[in-house]
Amino acid sequence: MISFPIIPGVEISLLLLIFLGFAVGVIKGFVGVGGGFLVTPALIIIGLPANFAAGTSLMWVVGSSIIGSLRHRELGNIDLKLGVIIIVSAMGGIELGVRLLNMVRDMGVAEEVVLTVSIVILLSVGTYMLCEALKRKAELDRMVKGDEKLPPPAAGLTSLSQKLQSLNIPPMIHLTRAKITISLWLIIIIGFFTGVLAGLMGVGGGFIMVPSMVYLLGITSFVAVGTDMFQIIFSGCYGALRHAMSGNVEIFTAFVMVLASGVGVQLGALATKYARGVSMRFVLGIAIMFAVIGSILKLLFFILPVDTAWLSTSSLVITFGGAALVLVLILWLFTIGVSYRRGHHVPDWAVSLVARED
Amino acid sequence: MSKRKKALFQLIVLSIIIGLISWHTVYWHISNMHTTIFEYIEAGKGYLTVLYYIGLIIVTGILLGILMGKILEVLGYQEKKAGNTAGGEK
Repeated sequence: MISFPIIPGVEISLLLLIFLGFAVGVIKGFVGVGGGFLVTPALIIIGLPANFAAGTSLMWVVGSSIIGSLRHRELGNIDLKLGVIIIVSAMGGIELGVRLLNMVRDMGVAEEVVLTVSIVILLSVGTYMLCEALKRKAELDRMVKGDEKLPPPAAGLTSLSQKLQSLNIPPMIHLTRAKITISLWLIIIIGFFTGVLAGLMGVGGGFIMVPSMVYLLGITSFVAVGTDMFQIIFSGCYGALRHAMSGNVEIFTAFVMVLASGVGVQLGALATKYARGVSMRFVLGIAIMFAVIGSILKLLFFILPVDTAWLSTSSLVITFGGAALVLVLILWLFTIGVSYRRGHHVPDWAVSLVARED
Repeated sequence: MSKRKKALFQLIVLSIIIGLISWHTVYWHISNMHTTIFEYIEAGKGYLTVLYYIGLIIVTGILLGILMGKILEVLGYQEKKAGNTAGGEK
């Protein structure tokens, strides 16, 4: 057990902290989202006060995003040009989102507004993502059954992204790693809008950023994951800086978790080489849906007038249950992917999730 | 020196540096130096606290990221970049 002189009376198990860092690291490495949505409640549960949990989790987000970005860079999953444009445009959006958040806070309805916006947006994104991933898996399954060669990368996953890519609004820029040519203005608008939502919802924005890059810009799933992780370093740094100035960071906890996530993030990022993009979208869709259920329970906790403390607890249980399921899914995909590469037998229905030509 | 031996040498150096950083962090936690740094915020020297926090996390992140890459190199794992293959499939 470790104690903290700056937070009297709090003692945390070191082993639990290490396990948490590793587990969230795996999810982060594979799915590309910041992970703050899991780490903050987890730190609260294991005993840190809420303000320290938020600041410490952001500090961890910065460290683990650096580790993940270095691996994704090696894997060729980061489009630097896209990342820089998104960072700049999202910063403006985050600032506007934070101002909107302050406005609703002054009106005394911050929790209700933020949770409602989160639920509506995440539910739409999660449902679309799961439906699309299931549809795509069915297509791939048909190809596997018919002994057809599985398709190579293709530009524009959705008709919307194809339409957006065909809009010729100068300056047009070519993104080498993402393999698309698109108007700079479209990236700025999407980055800004995502930034507004991230600032308003108080999260890093990975849940919105990755699907936006995949479905609106039309870039491949794993390049979206890598590029998102790269941009999180900067947005996370901004948040961590503000929290550190406010005295909300317990640096030893953040340090231990960064060390522990080192291996986890590598494992998650490596798993992206053994799975198809559809697997990542499927896993992210599931993670989003669990976050939605958690948010609905939390919203009910705020708006129901009766004593509903169990709703708050259930929300945490759902969040962690979801995280555990996602972790198991990623490790399972990794194992199946390795087996498939080595020529071992994998179930027919799983081939479409892991079969890759590289 | 072969590529693998070079990676092994870099791996050892990186491990020592990360070990030293870890020892420093644990030592400062036990000796309450972290508390002193934390108290800088109220003393109007918060920029030192922020610099130390961000610096520690960024340096650790970078070194760990490189270390993990070196471990894979020593183990003989070869990366294939997504951009040149079907790795970026949808």
